[in-house]
Amino acid sequence: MNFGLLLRKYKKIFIFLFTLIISLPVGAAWISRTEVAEADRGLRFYAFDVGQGDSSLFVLPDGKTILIDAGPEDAGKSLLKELKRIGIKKIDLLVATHPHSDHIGGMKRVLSNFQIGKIWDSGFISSSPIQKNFYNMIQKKNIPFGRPKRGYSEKIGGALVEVLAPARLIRGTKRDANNNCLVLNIKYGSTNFLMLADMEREQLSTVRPLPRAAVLKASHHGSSNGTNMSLLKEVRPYVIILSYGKNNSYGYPHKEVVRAVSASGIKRLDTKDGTIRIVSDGEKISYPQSREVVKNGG
Amino acid sequence: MAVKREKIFVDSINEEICTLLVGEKALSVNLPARMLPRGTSEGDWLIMTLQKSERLKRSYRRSMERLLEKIESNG
Repeated sequence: MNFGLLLRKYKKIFIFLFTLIISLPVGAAWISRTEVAEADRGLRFYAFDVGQGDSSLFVLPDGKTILIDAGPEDAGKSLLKELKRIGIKKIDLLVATHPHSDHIGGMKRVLSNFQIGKIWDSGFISSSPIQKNFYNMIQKKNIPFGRPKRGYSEKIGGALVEVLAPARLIRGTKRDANNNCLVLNIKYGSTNFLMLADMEREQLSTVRPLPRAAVLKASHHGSSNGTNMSLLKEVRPYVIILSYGKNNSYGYPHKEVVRAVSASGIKRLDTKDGTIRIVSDGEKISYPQSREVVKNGG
Repeated sequence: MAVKREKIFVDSINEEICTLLVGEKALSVNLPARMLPRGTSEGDWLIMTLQKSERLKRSYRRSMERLLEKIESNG
């Protein structure tokens, strides 16, 4: 059987295959246009799975970006991969909430791979070698640097970034680094994203009253020293993000926190199973319902 | 006697687990906090001394040889 005969016999199949091959790149282009259109009309928030640590990204309505913390050093490579997958080329504001290694360990890789607009730091000096290297790199690259305090706010990319803490220097607690965290509220339209970093009880008393927020990034990986029923009643979030690593040695999230979240009827999303993406149109948020933790376990 | 010293930074202490950053490369290591010298808290620097011990090696070997003999005589 020659090719002409084959073509006539299987004409419909050839036409179907030809149409499929032609339509694949067109379909891909349509998907990427949809992504861009989505960015144009709202704010995108990502909470990354960096193992036992913390790192979150905001892609603001005009495309500007805010990266809050960079997870531990050993997660730096996967964080970089995620940022590139999302299409991040520049970080307009890089925030170091406090100098613990599970929050700033990945900064070296971020600073080496992205153009950084400016950096906000808690200003709490722990004398950590990782913090020293971080400061050295900032100095070397001559990146604009600030230590904003409670009361400062700035409009960035169509959103308002409010600094809720530090209000004052706190000393003599069990974990001073946690109690001098940079705590932010990212406001877009009527939706608030409250980013509590690793704030503990002592610092909490300096930042009250807390605003109501649609999304609450829980403090200190779901530790009971950062989240309790009274805080949840005050913030009344629709969604809470718990950032912690699978099988971590610390037992995060704590049972008390899990119970309080469940009793409050708040939707819970955990980073241990992968990146969480939430979109706000300025009035309401949408989140991956398939990632909702419905059980009372960790 | 082969002795080596390493500087260690106490990065954090949570739930009786401490995260230590060891040496120039700040290698992250988790240990039970009870292994730290008394009075150690977050943000402290420690010096770790690593010393090779032939005495300990011989002692362990002897006790294990004795143990092996006992096991073999179990029948």
